[in-house]
Amino acid sequence: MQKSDLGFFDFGLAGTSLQAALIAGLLAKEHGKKICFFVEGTLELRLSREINLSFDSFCRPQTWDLLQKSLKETLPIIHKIGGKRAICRINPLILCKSKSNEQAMAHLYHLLRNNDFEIEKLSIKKFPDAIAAFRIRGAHLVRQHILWPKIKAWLKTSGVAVIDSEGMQLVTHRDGSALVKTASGSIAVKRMILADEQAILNYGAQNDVERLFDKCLTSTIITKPAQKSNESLILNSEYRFSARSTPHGGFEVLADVAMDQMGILMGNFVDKDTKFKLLARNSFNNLRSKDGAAVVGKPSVSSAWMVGGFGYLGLFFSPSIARYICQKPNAAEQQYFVSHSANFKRKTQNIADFRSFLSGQL
Amino acid sequence: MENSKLHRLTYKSDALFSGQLIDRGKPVHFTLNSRAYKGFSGDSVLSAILGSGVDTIGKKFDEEIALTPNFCPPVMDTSDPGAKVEIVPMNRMPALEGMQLFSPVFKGQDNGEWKKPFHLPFISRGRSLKYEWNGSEAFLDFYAGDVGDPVKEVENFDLVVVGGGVAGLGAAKAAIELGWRVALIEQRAKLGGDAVFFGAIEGEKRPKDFIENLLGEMQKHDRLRIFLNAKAYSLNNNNVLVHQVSSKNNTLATRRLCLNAKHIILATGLLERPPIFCGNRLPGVMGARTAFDLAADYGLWNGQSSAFSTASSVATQVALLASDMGIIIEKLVDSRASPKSRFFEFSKAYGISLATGTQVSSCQSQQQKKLLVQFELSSYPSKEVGEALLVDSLIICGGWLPNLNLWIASGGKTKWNEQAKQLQAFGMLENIILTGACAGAASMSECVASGKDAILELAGKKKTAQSFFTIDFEHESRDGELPIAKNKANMAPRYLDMGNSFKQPEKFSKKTLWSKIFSAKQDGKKAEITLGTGYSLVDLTAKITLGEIPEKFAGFFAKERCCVNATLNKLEKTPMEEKLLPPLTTELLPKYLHYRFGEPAEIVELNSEQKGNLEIGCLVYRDQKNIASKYAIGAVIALDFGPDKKILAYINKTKTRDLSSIVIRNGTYFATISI
Repeated sequence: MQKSDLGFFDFGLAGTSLQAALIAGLLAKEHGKKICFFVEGTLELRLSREINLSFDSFCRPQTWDLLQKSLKETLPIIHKIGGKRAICRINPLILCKSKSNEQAMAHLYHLLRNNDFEIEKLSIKKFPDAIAAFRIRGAHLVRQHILWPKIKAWLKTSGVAVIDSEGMQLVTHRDGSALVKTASGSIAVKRMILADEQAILNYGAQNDVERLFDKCLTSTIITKPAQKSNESLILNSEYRFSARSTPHGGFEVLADVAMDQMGILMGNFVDKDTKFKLLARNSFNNLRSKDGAAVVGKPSVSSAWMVGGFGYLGLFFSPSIARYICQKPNAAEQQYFVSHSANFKRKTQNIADFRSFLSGQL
Repeated sequence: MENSKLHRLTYKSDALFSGQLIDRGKPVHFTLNSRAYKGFSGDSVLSAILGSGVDTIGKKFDEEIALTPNFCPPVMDTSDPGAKVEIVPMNRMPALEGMQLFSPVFKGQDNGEWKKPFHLPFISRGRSLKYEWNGSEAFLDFYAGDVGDPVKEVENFDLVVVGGGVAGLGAAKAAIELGWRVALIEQRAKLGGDAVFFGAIEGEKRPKDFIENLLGEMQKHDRLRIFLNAKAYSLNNNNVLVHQVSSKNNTLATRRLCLNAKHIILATGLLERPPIFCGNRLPGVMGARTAFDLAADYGLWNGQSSAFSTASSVATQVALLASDMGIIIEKLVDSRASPKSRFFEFSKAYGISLATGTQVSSCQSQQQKKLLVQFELSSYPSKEVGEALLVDSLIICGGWLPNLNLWIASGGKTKWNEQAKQLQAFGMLENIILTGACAGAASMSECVASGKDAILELAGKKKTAQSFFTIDFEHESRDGELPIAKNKANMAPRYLDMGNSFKQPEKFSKKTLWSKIFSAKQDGKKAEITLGTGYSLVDLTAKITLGEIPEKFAGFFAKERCCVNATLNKLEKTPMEEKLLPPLTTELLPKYLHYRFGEPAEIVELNSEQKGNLEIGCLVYRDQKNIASKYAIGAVIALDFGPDKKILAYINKTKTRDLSSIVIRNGTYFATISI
C-alpha cells in the first residue's frame, strides 16, 4: 500500500446520497470496518439530487422480494438515526404518458397486487394528460433534510472519517486498493466503493461507465407556492419525474430533463394552468444504467466497486449492499447481487428492467 | 398634501432634482382600487401615488412596510372593457388619464393571505394602500413572465446589450462601429443608468455630457434599436426575453418579445444593499439611489427634514442635492471611521451635522408620520450615541454589489470575494460577457472601456490599450462594510433587502444557528422551509456577512437559490419539446419480461372468449391454489393481437406440459383458459 497522509482504511466510499452514507455507516458500525467517506462539503445547503422512496418502476419480482425483506431491516435503522420524522408514509400518484410506460406499469401493477402490495389503478378522467394512472398506498418516503444532518452525525459516532471530496482524485491499483488524493491529504484504502451514480460519474473508469451507464441531465427545482395540490407526490417513470409537495406550499421536483423542459413536465403532470415560479433550481450530469437494472460490484479486478441504478430504492437496500461488500450476504442477496454484477459476466437479458425515456440524452 | 410627507419638490430648471420625466403642465387623473389619484404626464403609477402622499403599502405582521420602487404591487387597467387586461408592476405602469386600476390579490404561503385593501368611501385616503399579509414571503414579486401569452415576437440581432448605462452604451457603440446590428435594452425611461447618481470622478466630463457624447451619432444609426421601459426578465441560451411597457395616445401598450443574438452583453450595474437595523423598511426609510431617482425623475421627496446613514460616499451627494432643494438635513452619519470624500467636505461646507464611525441603531414610527432614529457607534453596536433624532425621512445606503441576476440565470459562476465582501462573477460563458460596474468597473470611463473591451473579445479581436480615469482611493474612501445593528425587542424587524424576499437575520448566534438548522432537535418542517425559500443576491450577501451562510457555499447558493424573476417559461414550439415526445410504438415483449418466468418461455396465443375481464400484465398460473407473484408462470402481453384479436401470453411452456388449462388472475377474478 502506498504512503498515506491520513491513514489506511479498509474501505473508501464516495457519494452524495443517503444510500452512500448509510452503506458507509453500516460497514463501520455493523461490520467493524475502518471507513473513510468522501462527500461534498457543501451538501447541506445544496438542492437535493435524490428521492428515497420505497417504490420505483422496477418490473422484476426479485427486486421486490429483496425490497420487502430489506425494508423490515432498514426502516428501524433510519428511525434510530433520524428519529420518527425522518420517514413519512405517503400515497404517490403515478402518471403514464407513453404506451411503453403504461405497459410497464401494467405489468408492475399485477406483479405488486398479486403480492398484496397496496396499489390501485385510477380512472384517467381526473388526469386528462395521462394515458394511465396508479396510486401506491403507504409508501415510505425519507425526509432528506431531516435525515442528512443526523446521518452525518451518526457517521462520526460510528467511527467513519468524513472527508470533503472537493478536488478529489482517485488512483486505483491492480490489487483493487486505491489512493485517494484530497485537499486534506492522501488516503490509502484497501477497497474503493463508488456508492452512487454521482460518484461513479465523477470517479469511475470511463470505459466501465460507458459500458454500464448512459449519461443524462437531471434538473431539480423548488417552486414557489402555487395552487394547492391534493397530491403529496406525483411520479412519472419515463422522465424520472417526481414532484413532491413541500410544507411551504410549493413543489420539490426532480426529472431527467434540461431546465428549460421542466415547465413542460410540470404542465403535463402537475397543473397546466399554473405558471410555476422558482425558488431554487439546479441541473447536473447524471447516470442511468443502460439496462434499467441495478449495478453492483467491480467491473474488473482493479476497478473501484460501483453501486448504482437502484433508483428511488437504493437507501433501503443499504444493509444488504453492505453485507455483500463484506462478503456476508444471505442466499437471496447473493443471488440478486451476483446477477446484477458490474463485471462482464452480467447477463442483461436476465435482469433488464424498465428504462426511462431520456436515458442517453447526453 | 394632507396627511402626507411625500411631496413634489419645487421645480428649478437648473436643479438635478427637477423631475425631468414629468410634465407638470399636464396633470393626469386615475383611480386605483376605486380611490382617486393625481399625477403628471410622464409619471409612473407608483410615482403618481407617491406624489399623492401614499408611502405605505400596508402591514406585514402588523408592522407597516414602505411603498417603494423595489416593492410595489402589480396593477391592471380595467377602464376599457374591450381591451385585453395586462398586469404590470406599479413602478413600470405609466400613469394615464382615466385609468381605472385594480391591484390583483395574491394568496400567501403559510396560509397567510393577502387581504384585499378596504377603504371606507369619502374618508381621507391616508398614506397607506392598506394591504396586509402574514406570510414569510411576499407575493408581489410579479414580473413580466407571470401572465399573458407565450412570447411570439422574435427579433434577431448580432448583439443584445442588457443595460443602457455608460458601459452598455460603450459596448453598443463599439459594436455599431464593427457593423453589428445591436439591440439595447434599458428598463428605465431614459438612458445613462446610474452615471448621474454615481457622478464623475476627477478628470471626467459631467455625466450628462458623457452620455450625450456616447449617444452622439449612434442613436441615429439604423443598426441600433433601443428598447426603453424594457425589462429583460429571462436569458435562455441566445435568447433574451423582454417585457416592454409603453404608452401611445394615452393608451397602454405592452410587448413581450424575444431578442435573439449570437452575442449578449450584460451591463446590469449594481444593486443597493440596505444597512440592517430595526425599522429599515418603515415608511419614510428609503435607499439613497431610490431617493435620488424619485427626486431626479419625478421631483419627489419624503418630508421636509431628513437624516442620512451611509457606508458609501455617493449617498452624501444625495444629501447635498436635497439640501439645495430646501430639505433640512438634520444629520448625516457615515459608518466608516475616517471616510475621505469630496462630498463629505462639501457637506461640512453646507453646515450639515456629520458623524463618522456611526450607524443607525434603530428606527421607529412616531406620531405625525415622523421617524425616531437612534444612532450607535459602528465599532460598538448597541452603544448608542447622541440624542435620537425626529425626522420625516431616513435615507440609507449600505453599499453596493454587482447585479449578477441574469449572469447567474444563464449559468454563470460566482464566488465570494472576502476583501470586497461581495459576490463576484468568475469564469466564462460562451457568448455572454459581463461588463461595466457589475464586472468591477469603478468609474464612467472605466465602464465605457470595459464595454469596448467586451465587444473586442466577442469579435475575437485583440484588445487595444484604453485609458480611463480611476478612483483615487487616497482621497475617496472605498465603501464601508455593511452596517449591522443588533435586534431590539418590540421594534419593527430588521430586513436584509428592500425587495420581495423579506429575509431577516437569524435570531441566534452563529453556533446556535447551525445547530438550530442541522441539529437532531431541529424540527424537520422548519428545516425544509428554511432551505426551501428563495433568496435575492442582497439577502445572500447579507447572510454571508452575518456569518449565517459560509463563504464556500456562496457560489452554489447563488446558482441554486437566487432565482429572482425565474419562471418555468418557454418559447412556443421549440425543438426541445419535440425531443420530449416518447416513442409511439411499444415492444410486444419488453426486456423486463425476458427470462422472468424461466426458460424456455415463449409467446402463446390463447382463447380470447374471456378477454373482456383481463388486462395486459395479468399473471398466468398453473392453478388457483398458489397465486402469489412468485408462482406465476407467465403474463398476458397483448389482448387484441392480430386480425383474430387473440390474447397473447408469455409463458414458460415446461410448466404447462402436464396441464390442459391455465389460470389467468386479474385481482379477485380468475379466468381458466384451455391450452
